[in-house]
Amino acid sequence: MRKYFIIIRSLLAGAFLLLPVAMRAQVFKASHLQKAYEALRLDEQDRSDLIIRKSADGIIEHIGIPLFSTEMRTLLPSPIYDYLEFALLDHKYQISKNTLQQQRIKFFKGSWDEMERITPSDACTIDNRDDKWYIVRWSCNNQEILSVVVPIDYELLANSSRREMEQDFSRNLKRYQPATKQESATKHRLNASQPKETLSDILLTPDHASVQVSLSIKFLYAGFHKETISVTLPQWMGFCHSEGCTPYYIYEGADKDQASAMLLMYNRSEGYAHLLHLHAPISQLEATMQNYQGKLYMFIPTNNVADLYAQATGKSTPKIIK
Amino acid sequence: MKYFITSIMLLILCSTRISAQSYTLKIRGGLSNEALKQKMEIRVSSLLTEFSQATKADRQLLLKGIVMTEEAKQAVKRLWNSYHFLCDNRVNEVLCLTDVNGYEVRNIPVTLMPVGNGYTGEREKELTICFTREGIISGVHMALSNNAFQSIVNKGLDVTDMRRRLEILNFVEAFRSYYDEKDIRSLRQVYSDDALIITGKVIQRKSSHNDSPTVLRPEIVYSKSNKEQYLKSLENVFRSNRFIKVSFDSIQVVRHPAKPNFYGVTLYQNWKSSNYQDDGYVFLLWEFKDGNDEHPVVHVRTWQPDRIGDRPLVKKEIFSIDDIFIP
Repeated sequence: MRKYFIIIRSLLAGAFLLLPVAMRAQVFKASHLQKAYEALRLDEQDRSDLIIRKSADGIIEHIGIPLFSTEMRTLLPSPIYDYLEFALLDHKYQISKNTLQQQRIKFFKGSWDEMERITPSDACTIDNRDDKWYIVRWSCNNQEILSVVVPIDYELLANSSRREMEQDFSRNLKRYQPATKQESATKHRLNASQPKETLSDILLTPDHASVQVSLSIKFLYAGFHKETISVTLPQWMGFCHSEGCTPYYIYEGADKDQASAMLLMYNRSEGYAHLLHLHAPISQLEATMQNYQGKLYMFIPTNNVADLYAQATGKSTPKIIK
Repeated sequence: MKYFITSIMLLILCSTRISAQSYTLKIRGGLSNEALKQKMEIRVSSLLTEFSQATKADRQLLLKGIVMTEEAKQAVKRLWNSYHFLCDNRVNEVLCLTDVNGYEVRNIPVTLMPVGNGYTGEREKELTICFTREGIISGVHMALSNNAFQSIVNKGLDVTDMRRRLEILNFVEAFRSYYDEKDIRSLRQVYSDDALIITGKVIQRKSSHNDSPTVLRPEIVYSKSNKEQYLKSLENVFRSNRFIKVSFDSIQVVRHPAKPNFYGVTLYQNWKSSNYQDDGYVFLLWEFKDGNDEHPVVHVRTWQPDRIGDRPLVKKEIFSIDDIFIP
């Protein structure tokens, strides 16, 4: 009996010991932030030399060594700020197991040592070179003191993997709450005999209250995993917009039953596009409630394509017989 | 003597005419080597002048006298087939930027004169011109803007073909990530059962003639394996490396001219792993089987090193869809 009492007492004591830890449990936007938070024991000490940014709902979105001013971040939003500030933290405290991420930062002028001496008040410029590279330069008295080049690679800038990003994308899309629709004076042109124009109107002005569109989207994940998720059109468009994507509408064609179109959501600053291939029933195009089927290719890189429409020359003699 | 005077007169007339139509580039900073700077200025000035003259005459570009790499000439000619462009300013003052491969001047404003009626995008663009370390023009590009991506997308005449090309970029990216994640199961699903894998490596071959001494010449030899052989050796690579990071660049997508379900993808691959690193060209032959757009398969994968000895591979040496015969 005494033995059981001791066990129960130990368990209770353990629970009480764990309670403060559980109360302090933090939620992180990505795994690299949690790793840094734990490695630097940020729950135990106040580090005023670091920047720790939380979202409105308390999720830790960024940890880093401050390099950029708040004004710059506000006036010229870019993923490069969080990326470089975390990279410097990672370099200084050796948080990651390997230096693969850091190796992709090329120094034109200066080195990590100079970067450690940079403060947010130093003059800084950011140049997007052909949507392929970011060139970040710091100067003092009109003399360049540090310049670095970072590829516009979505995995690199997010400090994440494609697989993780796909999971984050579908989870965050499901959670996303679009703003309430406002009655608009402009109405959609709904005409089933003009599917190209009708779809263009509906898809590119999703906030109009005159038509409610729900999308049943098949997500094609890496590793041949598939999942069908239902969202509303404003939810889809609003979420992609919140990610920084610009929509492009491409009409593919129609038969007697359905019209096909694509929405290419292009995120220039992070170097990717989402491709949503949609089928809309012709019979619903004039209705106020519509339901489209879609297929989603989540992360198409846009920074490493030299020629999407290269042509076969047909000049050489085939060397491989398939 | 009469001929000489006539020739001089003609030359004066011609030079007046040329200078009246000429466009110039001035590099106002970023390059301290004065001789190199002047060479680059002259080369770009003659190129901009040729752009304008060819646009006004609505003719093909004449690039013979302009110091450019052959690749740059071909690329500009391809661009010219879609757009002609006219310089907005007679004198263009720019800064010179130094990058890993050489130099670059940017922000040369031009107005696009599209060939045909298909282009509805922006007319006002900016040119970027790249140079080798020796100041030879190595590339002419139009800076991409938000809308430029749309125009790239709209360039596809067949929208279904365009969609498939975009989907292929998605599949190529997933394919790349399987190597990073050592996901042999997904790679097994991507490769068709009859997949052909060709891998090149550089060897030093001895060559000698009757009287001359033996010399070592680098050359690429190719080895062939089937799907199972390749995946088995890949499993060993995955086991022996703590991490693998593969990146792709310079992706080109080509649809087979006779077999519309087949697409060739040529790309530059950088492979980094805990105990090995290399750069080379990968060619992949993809097939969308019977309308199954969700699961195209790879029939052929080739890898070649990016150079033989000190010499980089030239375009015609790199595997492409032209090298494949599909019965």
